[in-house]
Amino acid sequence: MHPEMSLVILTVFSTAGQGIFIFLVVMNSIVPESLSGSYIITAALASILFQFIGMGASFFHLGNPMKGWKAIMMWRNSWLSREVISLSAFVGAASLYLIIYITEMNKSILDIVGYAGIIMSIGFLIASSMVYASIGYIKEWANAFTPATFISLGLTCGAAFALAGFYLSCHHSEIYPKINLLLIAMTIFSFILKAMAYRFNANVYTSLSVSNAIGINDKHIKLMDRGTPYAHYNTKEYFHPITEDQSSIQKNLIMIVTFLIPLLIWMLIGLLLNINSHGAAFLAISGACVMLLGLLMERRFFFIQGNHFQNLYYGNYKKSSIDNPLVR
Amino acid sequence: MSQYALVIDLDKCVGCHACAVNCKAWNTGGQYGPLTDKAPYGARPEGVWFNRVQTYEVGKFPNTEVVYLPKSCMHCKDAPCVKVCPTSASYKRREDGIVLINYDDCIGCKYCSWACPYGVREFDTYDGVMKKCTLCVDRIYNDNLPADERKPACVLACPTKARIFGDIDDPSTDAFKLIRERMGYKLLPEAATEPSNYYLPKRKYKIQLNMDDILVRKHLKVETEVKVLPFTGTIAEDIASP
Repeated sequence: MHPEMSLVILTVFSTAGQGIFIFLVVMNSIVPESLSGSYIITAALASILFQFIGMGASFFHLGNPMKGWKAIMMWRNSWLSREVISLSAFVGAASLYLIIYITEMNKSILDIVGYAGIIMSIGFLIASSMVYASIGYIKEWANAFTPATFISLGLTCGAAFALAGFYLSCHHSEIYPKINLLLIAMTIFSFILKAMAYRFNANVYTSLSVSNAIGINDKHIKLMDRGTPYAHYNTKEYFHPITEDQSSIQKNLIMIVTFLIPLLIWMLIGLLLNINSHGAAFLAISGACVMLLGLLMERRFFFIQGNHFQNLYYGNYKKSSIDNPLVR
Repeated sequence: MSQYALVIDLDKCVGCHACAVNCKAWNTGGQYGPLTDKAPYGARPEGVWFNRVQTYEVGKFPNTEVVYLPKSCMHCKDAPCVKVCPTSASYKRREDGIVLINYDDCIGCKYCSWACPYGVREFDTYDGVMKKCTLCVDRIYNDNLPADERKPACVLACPTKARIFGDIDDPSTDAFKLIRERMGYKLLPEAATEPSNYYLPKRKYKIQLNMDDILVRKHLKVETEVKVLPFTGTIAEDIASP
């Protein structure tokens, strides 16, 4: 599939922003004494800002952005509609959380609104990933790894920014090393999940061939003419030219930038540095930014990997390693 | 409930693209407004077409044949594009089963095109909406047209009558009868969308030519008689072994 940057930015920034909010609410309800006021306001603002970056980018994807609000209409059928609704509801909940905190209202109300925001966030993470996982004609997307990696990577990136915020707020607490350990564990988990997803996609089974597509039972079918003298929507939207070597290089680069470099940074912070130092704060922010960059690369490659059934008609479908047993 | 659709005879299709061109002509000037076409006579003619004819070579040389595959919206009975549309702009009409797009509601998210396994929806960058074959709904119910012209533009244009339009659920129609008589098939049944358009498979012909006969008849200025018999093997084999 063609990797459209607006969708890459939408999925990465909105999931990462929700990760920040989830951590903020959980920490604020479990260990509120460890958090400074400036941290809570900054984290809630950062989470909302990330949503606006994502939503803003998504408008560039639409042909008619002014009618974008209509996307809430078919929540019964469409995952895309559910994604839009849950994202809007989340922004509302996060904004309310911020307002309640600033106006110093009841702490229990703050927690209730926060947990309501988490529920909407989980709804968004599921809906956002199911937009892709529910397309059964792209085998690389239609599997359990899609929602699992979307949720896991979003939460991990959010946690990375949350940790950077903790360090920046310079509020002494014994909880920081524990959060650092949690972040390392989450990064390792996401790394394993993503590696498994890449392995799964490399061996995804599809017995389809152009023979099935045009309904003629013959092993030797060759496309002679695409029916168009020049590229058009169907040859551009569903296909991104990439060789096996380029694909392998990109995958390795993604694993290094998204997981290994941030992991090394957090290990360095945990083992060598005083977590209250400015150096640790700088490193933590660098780690979170590197992970965000890696996530953008990962999501771009997620689109490139998608191999749509309709490519069968244009001779662009990735060849299956297994021959169709029905074709003689 | 009716289900209007196209039945395409691959045996008759000669790949002339007349259906695609007439479709483009009608739908550019019809009630649905123009289809984008950037520089149609330039070096990079990008544009929206509802119908495209693709050409495939089947078999291994020298035993090959050419198949022309005209492909437009299948008007699926279980249309996945309708299910995923977030605004209900894509819808399937109950009265005739035609899948249409309401351009006023379409936000141009392209999600419907991802959900279509056939790649028959094309995004119009100029209008910012998704477009696809309407089965010439503005022709088939148009009282201003003569009754025999109330058919899709592609059907009227086909010089070999390879395209048949009708209700595939009504046993009295030619479309219904042809599907059963000629063992019509659907494209990509694995996608499980229950497409309504059917394709009639190519038939193979055996042509028996007696060279002496031809030479004598030519000499006598009599037309050569060509016998068409049911096929028993591949074309090349039959010609090679008279």
